[in-house]
Amino acid sequence: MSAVDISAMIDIFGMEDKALFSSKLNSFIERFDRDIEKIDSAIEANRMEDIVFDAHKLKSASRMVGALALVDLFESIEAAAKENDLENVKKYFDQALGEALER
Amino acid sequence: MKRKSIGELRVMCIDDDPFSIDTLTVALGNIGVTDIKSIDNAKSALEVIGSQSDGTDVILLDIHMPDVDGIEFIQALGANGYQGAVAVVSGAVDVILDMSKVLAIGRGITFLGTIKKPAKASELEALLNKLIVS
Repeated sequence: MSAVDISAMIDIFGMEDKALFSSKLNSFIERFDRDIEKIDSAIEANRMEDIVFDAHKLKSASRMVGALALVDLFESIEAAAKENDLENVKKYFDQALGEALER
Repeated sequence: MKRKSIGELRVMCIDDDPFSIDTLTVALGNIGVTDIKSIDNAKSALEVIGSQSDGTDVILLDIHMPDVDGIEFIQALGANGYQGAVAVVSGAVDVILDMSKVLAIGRGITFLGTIKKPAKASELEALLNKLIVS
C-alpha cells in the first residue's frame, strides 16, 4: 500500500495511537480493494458518474490515512471522469493500482 | 442550545461512507464527545430528527451522498423545525460549501461552519466550542 503520512492521522484523531492507526490502515486496505474493483467495473462499462462517485470517496478515504499520492491520483480520476475523458481515467487508474502494489 | 462542556453535546453525524463516519466518531470521542449518533443516510436522519424529543445540539453533515444529499437535507431540515446547529464536514468544492451555509442561514438554522474532509480533531473541537458557554 502507498506510503502514508502518519502526521495526517495524528491531526485527524487528535492523538498518536499506533493500534488505532493500524486498525484504520487495515480498514482502508479492505476498502481500497473493494472500491478499486467497483471503479474497474465502471470503467469497463463506461459509467462515468459511478467513477466520479467512487473516486471521490476513495480520495477522501486516502486523505484520512495520509496516503497523499493516492489522494492526487483519485482526484485526477474524478476530474477526468467529470470531463468524460476515459483515456485519462484509465491512465490514472493504472497509476493508482501501481502506487498501491508498489508498497 | 449552549452547553457547559463538549461532553454534554448531543452530536449527530450524517455520512454515507462508513470509513468516514468511523473516523469522525473516533475523533469526536478523542475530544470528549460522548453522545454521538451516526446515521448513514440523510433520509433516515430527517426521520430521526423529526421524531426525537431530546434534541440534537449539532449535526455534522456530509454533502456528497446518494439519494438525499447534504444540500437537499438542509433544505428539508429548515422545514421541520430543527432547533439545533449544523456544520458541514465534506470534501465538496468551496462553492458547494458556501451554498450550504447560505441555505442553512436562509432557513433560520444556526450554521457553525464548514470543515474540509478529513476533519482534524482540533478543527472539530474549535467548531463545537462555539456551542459551549464560558
